[in-house]
Amino acid sequence: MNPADPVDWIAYVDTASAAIGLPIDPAHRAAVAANLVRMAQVAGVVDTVPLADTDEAAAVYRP
Amino acid sequence: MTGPSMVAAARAPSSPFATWTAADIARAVRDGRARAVEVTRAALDDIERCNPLINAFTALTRERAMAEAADVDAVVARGERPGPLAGVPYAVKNLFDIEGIATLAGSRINRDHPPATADASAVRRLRGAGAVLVGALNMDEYAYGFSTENSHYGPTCNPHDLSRIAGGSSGGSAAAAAAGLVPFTLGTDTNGSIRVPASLCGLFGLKPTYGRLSRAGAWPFVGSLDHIGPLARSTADLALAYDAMQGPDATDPVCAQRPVEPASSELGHGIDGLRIAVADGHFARPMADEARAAVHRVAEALGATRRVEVPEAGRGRAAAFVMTAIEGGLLHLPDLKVRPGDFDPLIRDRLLAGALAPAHWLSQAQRVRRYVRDRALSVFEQCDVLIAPCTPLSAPPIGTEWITLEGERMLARPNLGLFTQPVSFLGWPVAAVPVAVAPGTLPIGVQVVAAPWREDLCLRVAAHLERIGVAAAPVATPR
Repeated sequence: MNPADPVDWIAYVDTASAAIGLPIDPAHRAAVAANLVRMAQVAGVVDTVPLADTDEAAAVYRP
Repeated sequence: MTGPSMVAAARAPSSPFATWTAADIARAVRDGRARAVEVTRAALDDIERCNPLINAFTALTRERAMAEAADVDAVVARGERPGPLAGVPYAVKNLFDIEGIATLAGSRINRDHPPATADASAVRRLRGAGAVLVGALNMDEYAYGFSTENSHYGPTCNPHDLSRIAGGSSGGSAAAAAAGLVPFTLGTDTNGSIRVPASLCGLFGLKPTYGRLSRAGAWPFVGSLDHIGPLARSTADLALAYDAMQGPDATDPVCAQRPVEPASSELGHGIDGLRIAVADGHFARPMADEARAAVHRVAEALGATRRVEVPEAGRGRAAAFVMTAIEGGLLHLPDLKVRPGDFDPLIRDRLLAGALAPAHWLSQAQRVRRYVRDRALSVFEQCDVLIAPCTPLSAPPIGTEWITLEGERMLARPNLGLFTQPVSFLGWPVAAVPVAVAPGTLPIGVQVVAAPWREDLCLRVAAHLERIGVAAAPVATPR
């Protein structure tokens, strides 16, 4: 984990998994948290898109 | 010849039809020069003998295949039309429903499911066209990977070099066709799962427009992004299979209400009048020399001197990554809760992370999809067809964790989809086209991309490249 990351992703895994009733084997916690860190970085890129309030989801996507 | 190469040669296909295209076989069966049962038996025997080397098949459907072939021969004997794929053996990624067997989708968990009660729509339509189903093919578990290093069923080996990956997730689909065991196969493509293995095994592959082909009866991965499509050793075969599967299907909510628009009849039209450009920006990100050379060679052959940027392709790829992790994780949440130990370790932690992700990430990615679509489509004001790299390198050895491209070190498996992921996110049609290489050289492909619903343009350009010798997909000679 990056010490500069303000999020305690291990704690997030514990809390979120308890909230949805998804038990995580203690042996897998660190790897799951590492995947969330990677996803958070990519989601951060997605977050840089300047969406307007009227930009709707592509729920039924038609190219 | 010694060691592995001798073993490989002993297990090369011996069917006289192994190098025939689907079009060749169908013509011979229709004309009475070959019988479907004879073609099918030869294919089944080759698969039994050769498959242990490449591990492409997870099931053989011998009885069914012989019955389907006999049906085709009976139609021919009655003087009726047996269909455009008469007597052509083919196989499908093991996430397509095959009546009577459990749909594995590469998993151990689905082995406990009851057998499918009906064929997938695509399988039903191919049967209607006279094709003969010979088996089911290996894949990454639940299609979540680009390498087909399946922990339950073993890795599928690249028929061009058995120490290397076949690509994925439709790795069995690519290996089976590249090895000459069947002339075409079906795969699925959510982020590149047809195009990545097509590139690494040296095949033609088609990911049609999102919504073009019915996915009914195909095990889902990420419904927002899932496509089905064919892989083959010739453009004509790709088009034959694609045409046979077209048409609306009310049992897939995403399948478009569009008439059949046959592509087979368009293949001879060449490239006159087409504005062809090379994709820049995200598609010029780090790649190995062979990938760059492949794009260069194809661009030169097509006279494509212009470079155009697809707006927002990079952020589109990021959104596809997020959607995949979260939709995939949530789809498997019930099994993740009760039997996490039965998932492939290569995907388990990614699915768990996806299932725990904040809702905002998924919502933002879905909204960004429309934003990216609206901007990216402007590229077709400047060109009709785009040439882009397919995989950033040729097939790495099985087990490769990291790669370095132009000095940038990155994870190997997710980055095999670096260039394919934005195109499936956009839903645009794209053909993977294998660039002709010298014997003994590892294959690699390029992507030929067109505007929504213009599969015909992708296939026309692919056929042109094949005709002038720049693209080729010979049966692999293993080493």
